[in-house]
Amino acid sequence: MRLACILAVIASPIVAEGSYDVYDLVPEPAALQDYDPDILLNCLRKSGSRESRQACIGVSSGACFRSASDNHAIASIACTKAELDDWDARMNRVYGDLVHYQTYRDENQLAVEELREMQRAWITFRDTACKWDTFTSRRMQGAAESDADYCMMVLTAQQTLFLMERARMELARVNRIARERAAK
Amino acid sequence: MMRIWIITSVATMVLLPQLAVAQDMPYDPAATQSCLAEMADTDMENTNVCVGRSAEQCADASVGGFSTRSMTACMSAEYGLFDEMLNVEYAKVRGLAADLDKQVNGTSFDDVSMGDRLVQMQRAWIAYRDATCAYERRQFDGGTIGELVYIDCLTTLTADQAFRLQNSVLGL
Repeated sequence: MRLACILAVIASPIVAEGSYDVYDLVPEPAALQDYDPDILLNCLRKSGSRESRQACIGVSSGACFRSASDNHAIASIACTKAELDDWDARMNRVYGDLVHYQTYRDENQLAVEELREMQRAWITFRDTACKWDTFTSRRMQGAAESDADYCMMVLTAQQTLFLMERARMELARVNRIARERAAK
Repeated sequence: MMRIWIITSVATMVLLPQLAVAQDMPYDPAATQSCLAEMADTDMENTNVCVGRSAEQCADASVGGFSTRSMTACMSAEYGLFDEMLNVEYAKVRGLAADLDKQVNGTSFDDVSMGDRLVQMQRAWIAYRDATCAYERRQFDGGTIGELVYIDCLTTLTADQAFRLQNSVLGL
């Protein structure tokens, strides 16, 4: 959408200096044989915007349970859980990086505190929203457990993409500040 | 019970910045609404692509053309549209949850009523929305861009929550 373009234009001189991206985030090898994390990673790499990255949510788990030869209900649960774990690992990594960058930049720590508060509030929202989804979902693809994991996967992925965007901008700012400090 | 009533009645209330909305702001919700109607028939999972359609048209048609200022005013109107939608969906879901709770004598599968579960989620959503949009705005240290980022954040999250509740109407 157009707002994204405005922000991209405003941010571009800063963003161009940073290199923070999905390539930096190689997940732990998945325990599940049918789950291929590279499908998700390649989709994210090919997508230039946060909006198009949203469309990557679920690609690895989708391929995973389509490749399962039998018992799709059980495969669906296991594959969804594998992608949830994948995103969760990514999110933890990005969140840690973001705290680090903002600590470096902000002498008064206000932004870091707001970041922590935001993430805490998000976790509570995710848990209550997915609990709610478990009782109201129309997907009926499998057990309630799979619905909850699907909801967790989608919300975790969306939050990861949001944090990733922020981390990219913060890294660029940190690099700029570091150069200014070095020049003094 | 009183406490829950207060919480639900202010479910989506938010203090918006005082925005200088021009009287001739050409906001028309039709573009967003027709997109939503179309997506409801074809692609229910991706209704969020519609969010902002009318605001963009409005900003383009504003006196002086597309700018941060016109987009902020137009996006505020779009926020109003989704805030109202959220209130409507919330009231619907609350009614359905209350009916369900009556059927099972006030308890659900794990002793938490659906009404309570809904209030818990909505309360958590408000805290999440406020914390997220405040954090986003801080990155731009206030200013006109900060206001646009803030109202865009509110609109996006409010629309997502309205869609979430809309989907659960079908499942209740």
